Amino acid sequence: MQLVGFPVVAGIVLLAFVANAKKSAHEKLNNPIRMASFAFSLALFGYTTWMFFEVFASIDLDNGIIFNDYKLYDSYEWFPALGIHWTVGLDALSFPMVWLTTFLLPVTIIATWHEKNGATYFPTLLLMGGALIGVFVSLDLFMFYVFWELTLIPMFFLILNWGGKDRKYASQKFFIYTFTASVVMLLGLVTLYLMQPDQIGTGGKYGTMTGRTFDIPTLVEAATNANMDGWYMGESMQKVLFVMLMLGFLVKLPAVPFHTWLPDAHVQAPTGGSMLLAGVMLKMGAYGMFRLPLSMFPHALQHFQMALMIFGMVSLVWGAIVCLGQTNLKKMVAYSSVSHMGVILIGIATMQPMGWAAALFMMFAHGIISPMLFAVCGAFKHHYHSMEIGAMRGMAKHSPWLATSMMFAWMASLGLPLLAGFVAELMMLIALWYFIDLEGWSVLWMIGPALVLALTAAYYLWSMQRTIFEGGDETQPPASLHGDPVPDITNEEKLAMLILAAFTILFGILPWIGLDMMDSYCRQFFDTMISNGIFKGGA
Amino acid sequence: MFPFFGADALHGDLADLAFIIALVGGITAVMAAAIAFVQMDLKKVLAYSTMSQLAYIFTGLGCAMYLANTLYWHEYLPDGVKNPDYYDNHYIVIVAFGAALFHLFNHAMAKGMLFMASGSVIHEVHHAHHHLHHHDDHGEDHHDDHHDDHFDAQSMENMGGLASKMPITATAMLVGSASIMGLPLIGGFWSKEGIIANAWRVAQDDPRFLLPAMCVLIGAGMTGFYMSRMWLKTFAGKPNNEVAAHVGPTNTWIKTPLFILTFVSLSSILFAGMGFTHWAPDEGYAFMSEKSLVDGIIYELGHAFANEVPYFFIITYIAIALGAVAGPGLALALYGGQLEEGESAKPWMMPVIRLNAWVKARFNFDNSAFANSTLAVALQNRLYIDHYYDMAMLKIVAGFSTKAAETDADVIDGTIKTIESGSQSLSTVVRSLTTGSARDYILMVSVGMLAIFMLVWGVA
Repeated sequence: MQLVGFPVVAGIVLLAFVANAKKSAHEKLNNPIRMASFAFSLALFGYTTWMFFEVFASIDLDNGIIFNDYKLYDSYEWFPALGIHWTVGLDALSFPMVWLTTFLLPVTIIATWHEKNGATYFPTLLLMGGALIGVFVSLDLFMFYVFWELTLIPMFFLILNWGGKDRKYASQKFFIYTFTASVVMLLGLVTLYLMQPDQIGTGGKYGTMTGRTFDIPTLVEAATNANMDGWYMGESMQKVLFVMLMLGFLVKLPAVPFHTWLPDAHVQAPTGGSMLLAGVMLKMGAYGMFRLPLSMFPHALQHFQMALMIFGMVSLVWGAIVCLGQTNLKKMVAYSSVSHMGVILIGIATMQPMGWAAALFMMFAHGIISPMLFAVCGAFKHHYHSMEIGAMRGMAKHSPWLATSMMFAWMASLGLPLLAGFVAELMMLIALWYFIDLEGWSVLWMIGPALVLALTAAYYLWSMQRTIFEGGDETQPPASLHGDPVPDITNEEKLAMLILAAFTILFGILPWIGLDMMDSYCRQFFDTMISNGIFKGGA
Repeated sequence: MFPFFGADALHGDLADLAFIIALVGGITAVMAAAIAFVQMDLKKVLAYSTMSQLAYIFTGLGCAMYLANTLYWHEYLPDGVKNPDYYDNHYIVIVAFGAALFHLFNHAMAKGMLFMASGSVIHEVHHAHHHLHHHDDHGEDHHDDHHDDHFDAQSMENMGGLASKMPITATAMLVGSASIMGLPLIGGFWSKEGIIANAWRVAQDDPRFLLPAMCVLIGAGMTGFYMSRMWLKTFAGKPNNEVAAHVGPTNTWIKTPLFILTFVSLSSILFAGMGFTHWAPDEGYAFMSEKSLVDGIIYELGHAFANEVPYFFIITYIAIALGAVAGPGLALALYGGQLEEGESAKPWMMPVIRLNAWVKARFNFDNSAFANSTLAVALQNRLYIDHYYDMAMLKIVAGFSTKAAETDADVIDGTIKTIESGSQSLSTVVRSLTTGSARDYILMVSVGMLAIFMLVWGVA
């Protein structure tokens, strides 16, 4: 499908072009390559937006089939003997993520317009975007895993080539940590392939030699139907597979205690890398959960519900507490991502349609807000040469644009009503309340989220107070500048901030644009599971 | 406030909760009023006054909730018979809630106007200071206390005697203060009397309520003192310094809202007469049905000043004595005084200033023993509440989170790093096996073969 192929091919072609050129010519190539990448990413964004209006806006959400039904479906035989196909398709899970990726690509290019070595930087971003889109559109386990690992490569080079002081350590840690988790996931995928019931002779997506398949829709269909009689592939096997797959996704999400690669990677990554990393790459973990273990192993999901809830609560609370103790602005923002990913886990663990919709919308909302947070951090690094909280006190007077952007992003992330993050947080709280009420759990489970609401406000407002306000002597520029003239953000950065802010407001006021299809998806999933007798009704 | 009108709050058995609410309200009313005694910042006095008056509303709501929970105020008894006490009880409950809500209304009008007027005063003081400072540069006159860093335009130290310079603002603040104090016939008097009377009505039933009832009664006197003190220190007496002497008249645009709010505060009796405190009672209330506004006002006046029940009659006059005589009287004796020679205020303010000058001359006494006491210092520091909040936040929460961040780096990330370095050193050990020497490899192969043979032989 064009969507995956184009950015990857374009990225590789541009990189090859640059690599072929003389080293001395790279400087001259910056501008044309940047313009080409930008035009291409813009076209991609136009294409997915058109796709929304043409395909997804017209889905019959009330009566149509949404769960395990894919739009723009395309399938070609790849290794038919093994049951491997090039299968792509979009549904309510993946389309918002794909749109988000294509939206963030041009915004990232705008925000980091003046990045050094642009001739190689911008094609790498394109390659990154293509790999991310590949993860979201694949409907084949084999393809999914290939793209899953492919995302690591451009991100590794983004951190290594454009990163900060400790970029070597951070990039290797990032690579090895997430790769180790992915290997566990790969083992899970292979086990899933080998242990599924033999279907030789049934045709379809099943391999002609092995009688097994990598095709996700076929597996979900088989799992959903088999679940009527009992655990698909047996109880212990399902539990083992669930744990193996979840481990890979929990590290990517990341959930405490598997999160320590994230702060290091973020602090060392360049602004553009951070924006894509926080905006889309973390969502791969949550997306993978929804796509594979949650859809295929609902019995195991019920079994591990409590564990997921605890993971979510711990991530939420621990992330927020650690945020308060950070002295580095970018590290604080990275830990706030950990905290927000806890919201996603809690939403999933509530096993309520609303909780799942909250998790999906959190993925989307955080995907717009966190790039803005990192764009602000990058602007600090770029213009004030420091990211220590307190090193640039009172800069609101000197850089009004940066201060305004920071305030907006911070407010959006702490869940100000009418901005996108609030919708997801509120839905999560309501779903958690339903869940506690339904299960008869103690009200004490609400203490964690309630505490975090206060803590989040505390660490964001406190860091803002010590950064843009409270200057000792406002006539003097911050000490980190060493007497250089006081800057404000560039026009390109202003434009990127404005775009991100506009979409944060848009999805805060009109969340139903994306929320309706997520909500229908989740309700249909739970209806299917209830009518198949897997979940008990009443949710 | 909405929880007070929920079904549980009105029909439940929540007398104990109502007591807690009333008690919190009563204690807050007295505490905030005490803090307002000693504040030098004009707006801080008003802010603590707000706290105190909102606590009055809370006490009123707590008492009303008690009444709603203990009196049977439904039209029909549980067995379907008409409730014989329906009119009496329903009326008592509704008037109790009405008093609290009416105080909310009166306080909103008066305090909104007071803050607006205080802003006007502060603006003019600031302006005067800048004017003087400008002259300083030309070396006309120089005063150390005019320096930019130390000058506080909100402090009443830099005011005094402004009644002649800002007549409109001074009048508005006089009316607003009178309304907050509960000076008879003006604004807050009607609602505050209602709250105090209801607290004492409940105290008759339940002796626990004597505590909040005493609090709101004493609080009335304290309100009288601190509001009078604020007005007198700002507008009466001689200017405290150069700046106060150079203050100009009020900005024109702020006068219109001041006029409107002053009028509303003054005419609160109209709202009371219209049955604001009764929540538009339905038919069956003989005292209100088809009566004119004048009748309503006469009823209110009679009810307030000539109550047939001696108990409430006494309470009303004690409250008036404290809030309108004792509290202001004390303030008159301590603060303010005659205006500067040659200055004169508007005729309606002159009686106040003359009274002030007379009381101050006749009953002047030394309050320095109290002003320097530990209690006064504690009150000036707002009972150290902010201090403790700061300490709790900075020491406990921030300290804990710093420790958490260290734990995150040392323990969680440390575990990962240990695994990493462990695997590294393990691989170093394993690596040393590959020596590159053929003899070593042949040795290993031989030992391995031998082991396999032994194993197979053993099994066989």
